[in-house]
Amino acid sequence: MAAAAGGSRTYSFKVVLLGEGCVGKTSLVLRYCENKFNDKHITTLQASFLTKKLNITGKRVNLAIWDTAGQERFHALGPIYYRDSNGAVLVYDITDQDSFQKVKNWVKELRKMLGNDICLCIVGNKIDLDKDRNVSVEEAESYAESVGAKHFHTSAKLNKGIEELFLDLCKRMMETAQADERLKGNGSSQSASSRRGVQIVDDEPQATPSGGCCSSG
Amino acid sequence: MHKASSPNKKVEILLKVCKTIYHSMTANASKVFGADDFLPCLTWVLLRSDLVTLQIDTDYMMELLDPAQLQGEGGYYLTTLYAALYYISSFRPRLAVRQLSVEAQQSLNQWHRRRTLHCNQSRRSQHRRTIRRPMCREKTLQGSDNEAESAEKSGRDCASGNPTSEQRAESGTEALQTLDEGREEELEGRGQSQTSGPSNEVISQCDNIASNDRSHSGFSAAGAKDSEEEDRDDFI
Repeated sequence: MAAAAGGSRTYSFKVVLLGEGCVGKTSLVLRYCENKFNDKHITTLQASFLTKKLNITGKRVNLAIWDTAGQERFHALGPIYYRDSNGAVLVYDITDQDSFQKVKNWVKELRKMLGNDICLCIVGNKIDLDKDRNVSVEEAESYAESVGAKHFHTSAKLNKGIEELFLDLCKRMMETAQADERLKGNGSSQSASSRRGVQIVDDEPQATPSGGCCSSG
Repeated sequence: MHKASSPNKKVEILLKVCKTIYHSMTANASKVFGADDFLPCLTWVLLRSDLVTLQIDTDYMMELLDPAQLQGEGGYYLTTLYAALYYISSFRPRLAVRQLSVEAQQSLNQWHRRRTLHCNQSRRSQHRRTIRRPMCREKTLQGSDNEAESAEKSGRDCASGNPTSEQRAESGTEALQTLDEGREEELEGRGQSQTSGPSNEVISQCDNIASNDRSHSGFSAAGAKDSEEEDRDDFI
């Protein structure tokens, strides 16, 4: 929900972190949120849900970062988390080919479920372990390009590339949100995004038998 | 959590619970935990805590919480709670389920539409839709009420009409019991929506279940479930 609340230029974005267990999702986001804000912005709870306030070209952005459990057995729970998010950070471990494969699965699923509304970032983490690299840079970058995602190399340990990653993601989400607003401003007939419109259809037969409860206006 | 009546209060309690879980997780380790570790822990705690009202409280919060809050921390942990409950209720050993079931996806989608709607309410172009959706919402609420009621009712009927089912429940293991309960509720819900018949029909359904339970009480849960489902199909 890219709600620019009340007409003010504050964007609220939801970003979901996906990727196999142990690829460093949590360290990544922890580094990002903690480093700059001195624990102050780490909310009462721990690192699963983090928020960050940014100022990009004079516009305020509230980022809510949702961590997910990456283990295979929790894969089915993905949609519960990524529903309604503006961006997704797909993390893999550059020393682990499997985790890259996992990212590809996530990309497929996200594109299928959310279409092109969501901004994707593919992130190769742990570049401090470059000597053990198992996923080639070219392969990762060409794949990212082929699915319309940006590719980044990061190291949560050395604090490399993380700022850039989230900054770029924010900018792209802002562009998407602005384009969305323009679209809504012009032709309000198609205001709701297509995926919402489609599902109204399968709703209707259920709603018809319950008579006379919609008289309120 | 069940005692608090406002969804906000409930979420506050939920956050306190999560905080406590985190606290005990970090008690023996210095690292900071993310969702990789938290979700399994929460799931374990839920399994051990035997909270009967939790599912209904979760639904309650998801329906009634302020949409703005759904984006925040409360929303995140509510989502995690939902995920953990879903994981428990859909748990099938040895069968790696990689996708949400269709029903869960639909109910999530419906929920999402209901809830995001109110954010856009001010826009006039969506006025028609705003009228229509509360109806869907009442419908689903009604539906879930019916389900809960019928499950409760069936439980009572079974208990009074046929003592074996009660005995069975008592003698069974805890896990088996919850599994059975969940299944009964589901089946009853389905039966209700399909038959919508008079109450004696429901009672006869109960008898059917009870007799099934009797005949299968010696078998494994999985076997009982399969054959019960067969019987049920015949019945319907």
